[in-house]
Amino acid sequence: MRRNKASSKREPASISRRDFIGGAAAVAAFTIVPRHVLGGPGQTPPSEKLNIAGIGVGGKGAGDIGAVSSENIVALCDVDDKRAGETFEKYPGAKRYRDFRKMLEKEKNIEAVVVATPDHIHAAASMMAIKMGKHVYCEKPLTHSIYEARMLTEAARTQKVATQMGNQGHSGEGTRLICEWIWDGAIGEVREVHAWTNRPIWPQGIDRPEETPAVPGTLAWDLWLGPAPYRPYHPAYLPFKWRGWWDFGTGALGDMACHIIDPIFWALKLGYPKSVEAVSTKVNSETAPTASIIYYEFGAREGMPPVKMTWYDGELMPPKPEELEEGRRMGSGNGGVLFVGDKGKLMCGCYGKNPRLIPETAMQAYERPPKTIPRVEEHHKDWLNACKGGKPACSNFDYSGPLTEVVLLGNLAVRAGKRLEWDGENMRVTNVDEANQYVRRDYRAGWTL
Amino acid sequence: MSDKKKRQMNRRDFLLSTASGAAAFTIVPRHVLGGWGGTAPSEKLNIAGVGVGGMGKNNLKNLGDENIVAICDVDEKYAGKVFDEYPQAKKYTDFRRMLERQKEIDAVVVGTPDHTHAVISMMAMKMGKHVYCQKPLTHSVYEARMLTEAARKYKVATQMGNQGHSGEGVRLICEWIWDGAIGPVREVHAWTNRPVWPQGIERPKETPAVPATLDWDLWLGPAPVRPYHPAYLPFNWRAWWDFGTGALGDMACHVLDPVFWSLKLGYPTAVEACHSYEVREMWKRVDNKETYPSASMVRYEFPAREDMPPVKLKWYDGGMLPPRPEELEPGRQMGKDGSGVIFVGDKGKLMCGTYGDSPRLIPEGRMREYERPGKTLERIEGDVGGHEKNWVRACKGGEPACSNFDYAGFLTEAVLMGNLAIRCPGERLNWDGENMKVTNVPEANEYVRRQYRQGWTF
Repeated sequence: MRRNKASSKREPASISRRDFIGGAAAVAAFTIVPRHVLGGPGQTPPSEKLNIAGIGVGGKGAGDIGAVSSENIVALCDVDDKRAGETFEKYPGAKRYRDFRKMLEKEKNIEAVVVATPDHIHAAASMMAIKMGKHVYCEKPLTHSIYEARMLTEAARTQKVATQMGNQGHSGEGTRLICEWIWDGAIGEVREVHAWTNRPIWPQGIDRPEETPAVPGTLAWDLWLGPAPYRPYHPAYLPFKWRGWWDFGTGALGDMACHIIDPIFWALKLGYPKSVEAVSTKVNSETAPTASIIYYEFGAREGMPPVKMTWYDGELMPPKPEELEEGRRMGSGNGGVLFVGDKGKLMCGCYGKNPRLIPETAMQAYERPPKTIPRVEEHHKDWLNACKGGKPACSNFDYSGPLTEVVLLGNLAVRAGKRLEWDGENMRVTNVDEANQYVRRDYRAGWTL
Repeated sequence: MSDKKKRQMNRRDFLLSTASGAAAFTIVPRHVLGGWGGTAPSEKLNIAGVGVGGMGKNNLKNLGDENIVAICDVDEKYAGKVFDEYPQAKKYTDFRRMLERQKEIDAVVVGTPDHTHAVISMMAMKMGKHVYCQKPLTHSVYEARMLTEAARKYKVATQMGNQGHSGEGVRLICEWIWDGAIGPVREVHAWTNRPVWPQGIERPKETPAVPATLDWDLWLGPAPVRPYHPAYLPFNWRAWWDFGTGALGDMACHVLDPVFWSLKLGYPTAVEACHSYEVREMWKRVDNKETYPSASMVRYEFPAREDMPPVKLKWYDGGMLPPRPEELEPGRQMGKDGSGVIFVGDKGKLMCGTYGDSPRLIPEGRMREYERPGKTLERIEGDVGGHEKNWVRACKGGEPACSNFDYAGFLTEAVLMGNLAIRCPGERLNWDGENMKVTNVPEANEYVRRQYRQGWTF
């Protein structure tokens, strides 16, 4: 632990997962997080099935549970009987809970949990599981606050559990190709990157509803709130619409940036940014704005020059590059990335999909380097493999924690409304003190991280 | 006429070197601006105001030395106080009647909502009257072109109400940039905090009774008929596509003015926009054709001009801003009064406020070091407050007003191209300015010109 800290002081990115697969550098990483610890004593051998519990099993959680259903699904927890109903029925042998704390205390046989609650619960649920030595697959963004992401990352390391964030594009071919091409010098040095999403496609920029309808009998509202401050129930918050509300979700950034920025983070070996600045439509204290732009600045890394990364959401976009042929779309429907190198441009869709040098003639002319990064069969299986003593999952918290921090720093900047200088190591805005109130949030009485 | 020649006709050239001045004079001889029947400097102009409740009121106030002979407004309540202030002026609700009846009118001040600027200004010019028209000059690119050509043809004195153009700041910016203070400029950022009125909203469904004090049909003018609603007036018409021109229309004629002048811009070659959307129900983005978006960004590309390299101009509104430049010291405000410009030169940066005011090289150390060039551009008496009188002098045979339509028409067209691009988000529109045509996205051309309601002509 101490060694991790010392090393991250110089170069926080050096502890990221990418180093595990990055040749000589991997040796250093192995020194820090020895591979054998990820199985640890009492690990499940590959031939046996894991006992998995789901926390938040409607919505995205239903898909995640389905993706690990080759294992024993021993318990399911959800605060919303109605939304989780289908999943409950699908796994009749699984014990049902509304409160994950009770579940984890009672069901001693649980070895791993899949967390797919709204964002504001991710950290509390994952942390409790990690502290109990359970492996964790947690949906993106890893947490609701930067502090939580840091704590989870450190806890996963201390507890030596197998972790994976649900940014499934990280297991994809596209993300790997992007890394290999950029490291090959396909577009030269990258000093500028643009990333965008069409989100939010749920209401944002709105005020708190005043009506106080009755809580449906199928919903444990107080548990749904979890560590968030108490407020009366309203259907404006769930299902799904919690994304727009500061107390629960993390806006367009939180929904999509862990996917979209992922290939940038990996390919450009990003760590903590030096500064971040946000501009947006009207900011209110209740919901994220309808559209925003975040300007990030990262310092030089390992033979790579400083880079400016600009994030656009709410359908705002970077200008169409001249290299893009008439009629070709920018990225994919959910968003995309444009890497601007000294010697060319690379564009991809959401999830790092479909990377292309532009114009297409540059792609055709490009002699691709060998595929040096190991390929992953499937994102959930990658994690299951890690749980059973295999190598760390590709988006384990050592990688996805810092990625999430960068994403959440965007929200912090939106709320602060000023250009912020960031001391990543110490999780502090150094030039605007009041902005530090958004680094960490207070938990409601009865809830701890 | 070539683009180059058209550019030469811009007002700025009148003030430049003798060479370009001479060329310009060949095209628009100076004497025509007074013309036959012109008012001598010693005499008073007979001025009519059309649309006097808002900005028009201020314009008339600054013209108090002249004879205000007629006042026209469709809204008796909004214009009431102004009617009282000029008891000697004849009152009208229909500008067409006023212009037909009151033959002694020499000049007209147009301060109506944007959608009626062109029809009023055009009718007045065709009758040989001088025109001071509020910004943006028109509602559509086509109208701006036609007004510009008409002003030339009818040889009347014109001025657009971008009063910053008469200011010291705009002139300093030109002098410094032409002096090479920041080297060649390839990138410019301009922004406004507008809209500060509701945009991104839908057409109201209620149909309240039209107030007795309002002539709703005349307020609509050439726009398509729709029921009256207080959501449109007296000020919030800016938000509505049929009437206003959004944040760009309200502010860009001010904010982009120093950019346009100092960088000698003509027609852009490409324009691209993106904008925010409203989402009121899950997965349903409101495809709003009623009002302008709450936030937008427009990217313009201008080709090389004279000795200046191609330049990219980026516009931001509704809370969007360029990144804060490193050169700007902590705590210093970016721009002024909610808007501003940052010129990015090869050798430095220059920042100014909403009206080209308060220009500074940044950081401040650079400003202090800078040896300012001589003030070669002619100053306008009264600075920004002298903008109306600058026009009066032109009406009386003086030199063309500083923001006459030969200049302001170009500026307005570029501004309105931004709105055209907002109608086609994500499309990089290639613009053939000369022929007013988007060459690569044919459907975009539908927004170059708008249809007038029956009974209204241009």
